[in-house]
This record gives sequence, C-alpha cells and structure tokens, in this order.
Amino acid sequence: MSEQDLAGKVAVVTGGGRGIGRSIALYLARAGADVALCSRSNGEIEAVGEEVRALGRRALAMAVDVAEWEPVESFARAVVAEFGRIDILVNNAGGGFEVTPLAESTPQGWREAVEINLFGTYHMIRACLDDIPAGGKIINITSGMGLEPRPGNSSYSAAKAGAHMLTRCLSLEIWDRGIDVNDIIPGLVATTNVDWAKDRSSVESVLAEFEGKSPPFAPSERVKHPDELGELVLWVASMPAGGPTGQSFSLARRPF
Amino acid sequence: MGNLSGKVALVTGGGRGIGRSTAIALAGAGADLAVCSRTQAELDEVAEQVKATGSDCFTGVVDVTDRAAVERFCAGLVDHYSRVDILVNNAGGGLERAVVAEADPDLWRRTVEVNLFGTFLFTRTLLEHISDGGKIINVSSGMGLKAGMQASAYNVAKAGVHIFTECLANELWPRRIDINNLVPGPVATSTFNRDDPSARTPTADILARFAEAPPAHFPEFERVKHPDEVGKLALWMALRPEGGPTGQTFSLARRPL
Repeated sequence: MSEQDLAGKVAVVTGGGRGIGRSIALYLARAGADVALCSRSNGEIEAVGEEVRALGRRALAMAVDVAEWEPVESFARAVVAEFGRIDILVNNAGGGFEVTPLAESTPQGWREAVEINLFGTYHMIRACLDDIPAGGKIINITSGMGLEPRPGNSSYSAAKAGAHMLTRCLSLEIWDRGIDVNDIIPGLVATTNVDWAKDRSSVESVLAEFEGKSPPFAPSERVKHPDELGELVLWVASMPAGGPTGQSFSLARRPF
Repeated sequence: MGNLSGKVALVTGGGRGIGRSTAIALAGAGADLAVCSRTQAELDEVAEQVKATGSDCFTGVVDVTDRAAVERFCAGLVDHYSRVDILVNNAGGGLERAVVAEADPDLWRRTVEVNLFGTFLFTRTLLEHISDGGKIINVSSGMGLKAGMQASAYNVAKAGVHIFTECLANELWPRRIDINNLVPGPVATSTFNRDDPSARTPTADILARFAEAPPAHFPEFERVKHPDEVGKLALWMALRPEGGPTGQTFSLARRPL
C-alpha cells in the first residue's frame, strides 16, 4: 500500500455527500489525504466530513452548487485558506438527468444537465487550477454516454461528451506544470439516483435487486458497489508524476 | 499487491522489453508462466527470472505468424498446465517504416501479421482452454488510435487489434472472460529504439538517450517509460475482479488519443 500513500495531500471531491462521491472521499482519506467536500445540500456532506475526521484526517464540507461560478470560487478560496493548496481535484458532481427525447425536452432541463455536468467541471477546474501544484491530479468522472450516442438523453450525453473533450484539451495545456488530468468512466453503479432500479432507496437495495443479474438494457454489465469507483480513483490519484494524462479509465463492460 | 497464485499466464513476445517485464510482474504475484518469443537465449533468461520468484515457466520458440508453430506451442502449453487464466498478447513490432508510396508489400503484410494476425491466432487457438472468468490483455498502441506517418502498417495493425478487443469483449462476456487493450505509450525497448537485431541496446541506455525529450515523432510531453511500468499496469489489469472492465483501453500515454 506504500504506493497509495496520500499522507499530507489535499483532495477536493464534488458531489461528495453520497454514492460514488462519498466512496471516493473515504478512499482518499483512508490513504491519508485531507478532504474538502461539496454538494448542493449540507446534511449529507457534513456526515461524510465526520467520517473523514473519524479516520484522523481534516475535512471541510460546504454546500455548493457547482453549476454556479461564484459559490464555486468561494469554495475554492475556502479550501485553500484551510489547507493551503489542492493536490487532487475529483469532479464527481453530476446528474440533472432530463430523460426525454429532444423533441419533448425543455430548454431549461436540457441546460441544467449541461450546467451541472460540464460547466460544474469547468468551474471547479478554473477556480482551483492556480492552487494545484506540480504532481497534482485532476480526475473527471465522465460517462460512456459521452462516448456512444443513445436516444433519449441528449443533454446528459452532450454534457459528458463535453467533459471528456475538456479533459483531453486540458491535458495538453497543463502537462508542463506537471499536472495530469484524466477521465474515469464508472459504468453501472448502485447509487440512489439510478433510474433503472425499482427500489433505489439505498446502495444496498439497488445491489440486492441486481445481485447475480444485469439490467435488461445492458446484459453484459455488472452493477457495481460505489467503493469500486473509490478504489479506481485512488489508483489514478496515486500514479507517479509523469503518469498517464488525457486518458480515460473505465469500469464499463461494453465497448464504447 | 494481490494474488495470482494458482493462475496460469501466457505472455507472447515475452523474451524482452514489455513482455519480459509483464511476465516477471505476473510471476511476482504468484502466477505460473508460459512465455514464447523467437529467441531461445532471451527465453532462457526470462525463465530463470520467473523461476527465481518461485513460479513455473514453460517456454517455446515461436514466430507468432507461423500457424503450425503457434498451434504446436499452445498444445504443449495446454499439456503442461491444462488451461490458461491470463493471456497477454504482447508480441508485436514495426517492421515497415517507409511511407506508403515506398513501402515494401511483404514487410507491410508481415507487420500486420505479427501484430494483428498473431493476436488473433493465439486467442483463437487457446480460447477453448481459457478459464471462464479469465483475462485477455492485448498490447495495443496509441498509434492504433491516431494516424502518423511512415508506419501505416503498424497503425493499421494496432487499430485492428483495438477493434478486435472490442469485438471479442462482445462475444466473451457470457463466459465472464474480460478482454481489454493496454496502450503503453513510448517505452524504452529495443523495438522503440529501432535497434538492429544483432545489437540490442540496454534499457538504461535507451532511457538515458530519451531522458530529456522523446523522439521527434512523439510530442514533447510524452515520457519514455521503463518497461516495468507497463508490466505493473498489466498486473493491475490481470488482478481486476471477475466482472471488471471489458472492451476497454487502459493507457499510460500522455497525449489524448
């Protein structure tokens, strides 16, 4: 485990209140990182902040809507004031699904998906970048939906495709600062926002529904525990300087 | 880092470079190894290094484009171990380095045969002996995802490997066999250094040569890596749990592909 030693590092995880974001925060904290968390509502991130502190690390939790520039900037300033810098930025906040064909979409719903998934990622990077030192890592949680067209959810697909391209462009702009930026593609994960589970009241209820079987729309997929994403983010965050940049690391079980 | 004891892994082109590093990394995690390459002396060195970790090592001299030789080697391997859990299709190389207008048709064809047909042939021959829940790792290349110049045969062959991986992932998931591409990026190997086969340059010398900057056909932000870094990634891929990623590409490159 010596290679996954993040002692003294500062990590920021957006959408860190539950599901994948919570698992990521706890994996990074267990490896030794102090963790700043944000999400739109306060209660859940406070609880995750307490879990981080219980591991002996420092934590900062703030209610921030990453779709809005000013709160993001205030959050970044607060993190730097508290911890001095940002070594690992994980842009995990996402969602805002408007699951409708474009012909039935509302401009507001369509725009919201782009604002959370694409602008949220951009806002966080823009606000944090000056305070990310050499050896820093930026990890964007994207989606296979941003790589492969499917009907019925064009706002999310377009936003994730944009985030994927943002990763690739940024890698070319900041390599000479020693900062690596990569995507992570989760595939299907048991979280409480999935629309394909009957009972999505908890991670456990979703996992139970799909134990030993796949959702009908994706027979080759396996519904994963969010901790598998925490483990992958920790692995990418622990890469030595000069490691991969501008790449995508996927846990999906379908070619994209 | 994890445990492959009781597993059997085959690494093609395992005599030197990325293949050797991969074989030793897998053996270090407890796997028994099978290794083939074209050069007996290199196989002897690898076998010694593998056995030093306490693992068994089955070796054979094979040209991966020679169907009879591949089938003979695989038959011997199955005889020895009775199955394969991890197949690493690593054998490859760029033989034709002229622009298309000047390319030698025989070298062009041979480049495709070594990189693409060899990968198919080992997979085809061993598939019925690969355990359900096993792993196939195809060493692909960024050059298979992005065109360059003076290497069209290699570009095309690796692009073929890339899509072959995806096709196979679609076919094999019911057997829980996961198959993924590994993109190494530039690595300090004799192939990368374009050595004459009669005079192979040591890894340390290649690393020193490119310590400041990669060769001109790579962007300045690429880093020439030690083959052990790729062996480590191959080991990580081999250690994914059943139901892990399949049909995906894991890359150490530093340029968007």
